[in-house]
Order: sequence, then C-alpha cells, then structure tokens
Amino acid sequence: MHYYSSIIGMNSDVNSYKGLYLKTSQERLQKILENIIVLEKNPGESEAVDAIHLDAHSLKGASKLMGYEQISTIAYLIETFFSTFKENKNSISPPDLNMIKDSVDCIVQSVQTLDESDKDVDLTSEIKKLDSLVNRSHH
Amino acid sequence: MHILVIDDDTFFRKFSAVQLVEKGFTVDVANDGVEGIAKAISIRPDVILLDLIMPKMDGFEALEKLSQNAATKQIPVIIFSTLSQEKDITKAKTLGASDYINKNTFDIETVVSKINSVKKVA
Repeated sequence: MHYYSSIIGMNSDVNSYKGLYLKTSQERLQKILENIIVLEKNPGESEAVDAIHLDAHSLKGASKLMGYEQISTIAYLIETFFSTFKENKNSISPPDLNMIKDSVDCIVQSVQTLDESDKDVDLTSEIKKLDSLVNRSHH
Repeated sequence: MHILVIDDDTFFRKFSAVQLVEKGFTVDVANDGVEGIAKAISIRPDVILLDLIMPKMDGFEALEKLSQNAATKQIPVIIFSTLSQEKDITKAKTLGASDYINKNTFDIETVVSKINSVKKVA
C-alpha cells in the first residue's frame, strides 16, 4: 500500500496545505530555538549550526511555496547567516545570536497569528535588522 | 508510474507527494539520502525526485551513490532544491541528474512534464 495514495482531503490548492505548513513550521521553529540555546552555551557547536542552517533552509522553501514572502525572507537571511559561519567556522557572538533569536521569535509570532487569525504580520523592520547583520557577517 | 521522493523537509515531501498522487502517480517517500538509496534499491521506482540539501547524506552524495549502484543507475533522477545557482545545476548533472527543478517555482504541471520527459529518454 503506497501511503500517499490514501490521503483524503488534500488537493493541489495551496491553501489546503496551510495546516501542514503551520504544523511543520512550528516544529522547525522549535528545533531552531532549541539549537540556539545550545549555541548560547557553546557558541562553536557545529552540529547546532548545521541543524539551524538546514531548518532555516526548509522553512524558507515552504514559506515561499505558501506565499508567505516575509517569513521566507527572514528564513533565507538566517540560513545565509549560518551558511557564513559554517564556511568560516567562527563562533557566533552573543549579541548576534540574540538578534537571530529575536528574528526567530518574530517568525514564531507570525506563524501563530496565521494559525489564529489568518492574518499576516508585517516583518519589514525585522528583515532590515537581519539584513544588516547578514551583511556585516560577510565582512 | 512509480515515483520516489527523497526529501528531509516534511512539508515539501507531503506537498509534492500529494500533488503527484492527484496526477495519477504512485508515490513513495524517504526522509534522507541514506533511506532514499535503500528504498530506491528495494522498490526500483521509475523516476526519483531528490532534494540536494539534506542531513546525513546530501543530494550530491546520494546522486553519486545512485549512479554507482547497478540496481539504481538506470533510474532517472530529477534534482529538487531551492538552490538555483548554475554551479549546483552543473554539479548535479555531472553526477548523473537528468534534470533540475527549483522548489521556489514549484509547479506540478512542470514537474509532470519533466518526469514524463526523463522517463522517455531513459
């Protein structure tokens, strides 16, 4: 029996995947926050860096598919930030990590709002802050 | 036609699988490259859709192993990723990928078209 032959109720309308998106995004965000806690204790922990990079990458893609552009942009910036640290193998400074954590908290709030009221949260200022951080981390 | 979707991203795995089933394909899934190769050997799908960025074994390594295994080397592989840089496409094709789809611009009709196209060539 092929599992996906038995799924009922889902169709190719993107909105019908919203529940799946919310569930998987909330799980990914939780994992990201757990790994941020690991990095707060051990700033050079490469497994945590790799895991956050991967989760941000997936969150970016899923959000883009669902049309949640600002969430996708923040996830992309987080992915890019950790990509830089994977390459350079540096430790992440506490202020930078706090900024990342704040951005993740913003996405958590945004996803929560989507779940409760189907409204978008404006993340423009968060995107600007994170964009500055990412640009700084490249230099 | 039987498709194997190899992707660690739960959302995208289900998103693509459900739409492929709606289009009449039989679909199996795997969560990472290691599981994906084992399933490919076991079920011998007609086409594999393979994500590039995955834990344990990334898509590039999985692609290499699939092309080296007698049981799977003839199965066409379409790479799925949000990566869209030319060098990644080139690398994937050098390792044996038959085609490439950018997840950001996912469109089921395009995916079906590419599946049918690579299957004809194989």
